[in-house]
Formats: sequence, C-alpha cells, structure tokens
Amino acid sequence: MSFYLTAVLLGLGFSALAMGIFLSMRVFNIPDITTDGSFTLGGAVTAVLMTEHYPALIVLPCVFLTGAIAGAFTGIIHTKLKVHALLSGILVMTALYSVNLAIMGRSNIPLTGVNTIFPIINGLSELQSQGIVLLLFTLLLFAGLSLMLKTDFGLAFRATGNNETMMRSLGSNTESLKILGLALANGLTAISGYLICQVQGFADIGMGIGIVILGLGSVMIGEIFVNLFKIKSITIHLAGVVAGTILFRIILAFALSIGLNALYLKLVVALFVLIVVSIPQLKRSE
Amino acid sequence: MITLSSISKTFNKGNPNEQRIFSNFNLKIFKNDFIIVVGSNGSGKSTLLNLLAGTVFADEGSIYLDKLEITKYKEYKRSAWIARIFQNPLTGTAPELTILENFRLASLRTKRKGLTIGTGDKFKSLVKEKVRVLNLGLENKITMPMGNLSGGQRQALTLLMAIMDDTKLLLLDEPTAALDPRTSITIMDLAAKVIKEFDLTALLVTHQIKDVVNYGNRVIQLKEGQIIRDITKGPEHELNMKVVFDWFNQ
Repeated sequence: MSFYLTAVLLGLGFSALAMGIFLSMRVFNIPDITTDGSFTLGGAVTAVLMTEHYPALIVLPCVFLTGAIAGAFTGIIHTKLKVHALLSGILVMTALYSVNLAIMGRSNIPLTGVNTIFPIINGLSELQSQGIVLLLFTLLLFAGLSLMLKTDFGLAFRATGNNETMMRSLGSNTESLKILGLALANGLTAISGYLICQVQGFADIGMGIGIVILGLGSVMIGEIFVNLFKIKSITIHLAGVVAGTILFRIILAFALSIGLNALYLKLVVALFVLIVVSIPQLKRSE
Repeated sequence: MITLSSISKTFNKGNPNEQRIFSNFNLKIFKNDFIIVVGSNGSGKSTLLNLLAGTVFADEGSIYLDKLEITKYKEYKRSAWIARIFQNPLTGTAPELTILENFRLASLRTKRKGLTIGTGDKFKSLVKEKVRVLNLGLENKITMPMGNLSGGQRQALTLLMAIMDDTKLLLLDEPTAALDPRTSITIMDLAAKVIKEFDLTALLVTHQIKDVVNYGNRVIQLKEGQIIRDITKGPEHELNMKVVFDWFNQ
C-alpha cells in the first residue's frame, strides 16, 4: 500500500511540472524542453541551499526565480533571436547541465540532517505528513494558476498561444508575453524539482533526464479525462492535468510492482506516451 | 488626421527579385474619411494597409497620427488607435476562448491587461447587448468557444470587437473576400453602420467594384505604388459599376 502512496506523493510533486508543461505546450503552443534542465536546476538549488541550512520557505522563492530565469532565457532566444522554440529549449537545457553541475559542485547531494518542508507530525507516518504538505502545495498552485488564467492577463496569455496575430492587433506585446509565460512554466518546473528533491532526499545531476516526456504524458492523460466530460473550462483542464500526473505515477508504480525491470522504465514511459498521443488519431481514422 | 509623407518601401532590397512598391508616396487621411482603396494585384494596397498597421515598416518617410510621429511604432503599440479587420475571417478572434473572453480582450485593446477578472456579470450583459444587434441569436451563446462559430459570424463579431475600446482608425483588409455573397453584404453593411455610428475614420481595401459604389466617401485607386485616382464622392462624381469597371481597363 505504501508503494502506491509513494506513487501518489510523486504524482503530487510532479504536478507543478505538469502544470508548467501545460502552460508552455498547451496555453502557449510552444514545445519547450528546457524542462529537463530547469527541473534539475530546482533540485540543485534546493539541495545546495538546504545543506547550508537555509529554511525551506526561503529556498522556495529562490528556486522559482532561478527556474524562471532559465525559462526567460529560452523565451528571449526564441522570440528575440528568432530561433526555433525546440532548439532554444535544447540550447538552454544543454547549458543548464553545466550550470547545475557548477551549482552542486558534484553530481549528487544527499539531504541528510536538514529541515525540509515536510514537518514531523505526531501520530502520522512520514509518508502521511509528506502527503498532507504536498497536497496543500498542489492545491495552492492549482488554485493560483487557474485563477490567474481567468484574469485579463491570463486571457492575454491564452489568446497569444491561440491567435498571436489577433493579440498583437489587440495591443499586446506577444513577445514579452511568451517570455513571461516560459519563465512562469519553468519556475513551476523548478518548484517540482524542489519538492521531488525533498521527497526522495537527494538531488542528482541526472534527475531531470527525460522528465519533459513525463510531464507531457501527464498533460495528455489529463486531456483524455477532460474530453470525457466535454467541458471546455480552463479550470477543469488544469484539474485534469493534476489528476493525469497522479494517474501516470500510479500506472508506473503498477508496472514496477508486476515485475518490470526498472532499467526499462523510460522505455515504458515513452511507449505509454506514444499510445496516449496516438489514441485520438486512431479513433479518427476508424 | 493621418499623414503619410514621402514613404518609400522596397521589398527584398539588393536581391534579384527586388520589388519597389512605393517611392515618395504621400497620402492624407482626414478625420471621418471612409476611404475605399482599389487597385490591381501588386499595386501596393496591402502594403499601404500594413504600413498603417505597423506590420511593415517604411524604408524612408514618416507617418503621423495628428501631431504624433508613429513611423517606428510597432504593431501592438499602434493598436492604441488602430483596430483591424482581417481578410481571413478567423484571424480576428481566438477560437479556444469564449465569445465573452474575446470581447474582454478587445475591450482592453488600449489598456493594460491586469490581474483582475473582468468577465463578470456586468461585462456579460454589456457583451450580450452588443451582440444582440447582429440578430444572430449569439447573445445566448456568449460563453461558447469562438471556434464553434462560422467565418461570417466570427467576422461580424470581430467588427463589434473593434469598437469595444477607443478607436481612431479602422483598417479593413478585404474583410469579405472569404465569405459568401449574402454574408458579405451583411458584413459590409454592419461595417458601414459601425463606422458611421462611432465616427470612425476607416480604410477599406477591396477588389469588389460594388463596394466602391456602395460605401465610403472617398475612393483611391493605386497603380504601381502611385495614387492615380483620389475622388471624393459627391454630386460631381456619380460612380456606378460601369464607370468603376472602366477604371481597371485603362
């Protein structure tokens, strides 16, 4: 049972990342793969600051800010230097590998004897108290983001990804909006790195490898949900993303529990996402 | 008043396919002008519209809005005065946003889009009231995604969106080119009504001879980047289909 609880915890931890991917890929229509780097960046900054005994609530804004800066770089390269979004992301992600190593100083930092964001609550197991904090965290981010996307500013965000020409003719500097959007998306991704690093108890230079596909898979699983309900509300869409992330982790946990060699985990993830992506296509061609 | 003075524009400068559109082009657009711009393909109609909208910049010369020079202003900055209707009826609206949300953004064309939720009941009834004018029954569907509507409906809404915020100049780039004849008439009549009602200055680029006859107070014909006709409609200039048709065969 604790096996699946861990999966739910990881799902909650990764939902910030999935919301970030939702923002870049769905809201802005930009395939941003800075994610791999900014996720590790979040973990790296967390581990380094926490082992220096900075309080978890001071570390959090630092993590968000560094992730946002990484995303802003991708946005600036894409919009101002007119480099393809995918390539902009690859460039920043590659550069971040060195940056992350430089921040960490070595390839792995354990979080031993530090105060994480997870309190010790009497009468609750470690997993349970982690669950409560992660749940609160996710709810806050979810509520904040879905509210933001309903404001005038959020509408401008969504319209930029939907119809950029219109948005420019309606007086918005869409380049700045894209930079801001990518900054926010990668800030959220870094927060995921912050949470996961504390859940697993260490930061590792390789923790972000292939993470973008995990986020993408979560977003798409969420969309299957949303399409079932046939409601086109941004809040429900975002809720679907969070649910999709948790479900995805449970599916992976199930795969491992029936004896899948962990070596093949990424292969299974890739195959699974492929299936999810192709479902709508297969349905259409019937 | 909008003044274009000594505008020069060449595309692909220095290339074998260099194309000079304008050299030393001058035009004054007066307040409440409703100018119909005609001319064959490549005459510079679209470039003129794009120069005004800020999607194309002049190599030389300057553009003034009253006393303010806006030559170097980017498109989004010019939106503080200029609203646009596009040739593609889908370009003026965002398909995944609702009618209401599209109108909200349009109502903030000249303003900051801040962190407040502006699509409340008060705004809803305002949009309903505006949309009711179209007689399309859309006032009961304002929370529907724009993408569910037809091109004609979306073009009509784009026109209404143009007047949700303060507008000095309305640019219409062949707004009915992709619509069926009946819808075209509806859209053009709506445009003319809106321009009159809101005292707008407007510029319509068109290939339709009947638009030249039916709408506007001033007609400009372009040829190879030069104004070869600039007529203010009045008793001394009776325009009919035959007269205008002959312009193109000279």
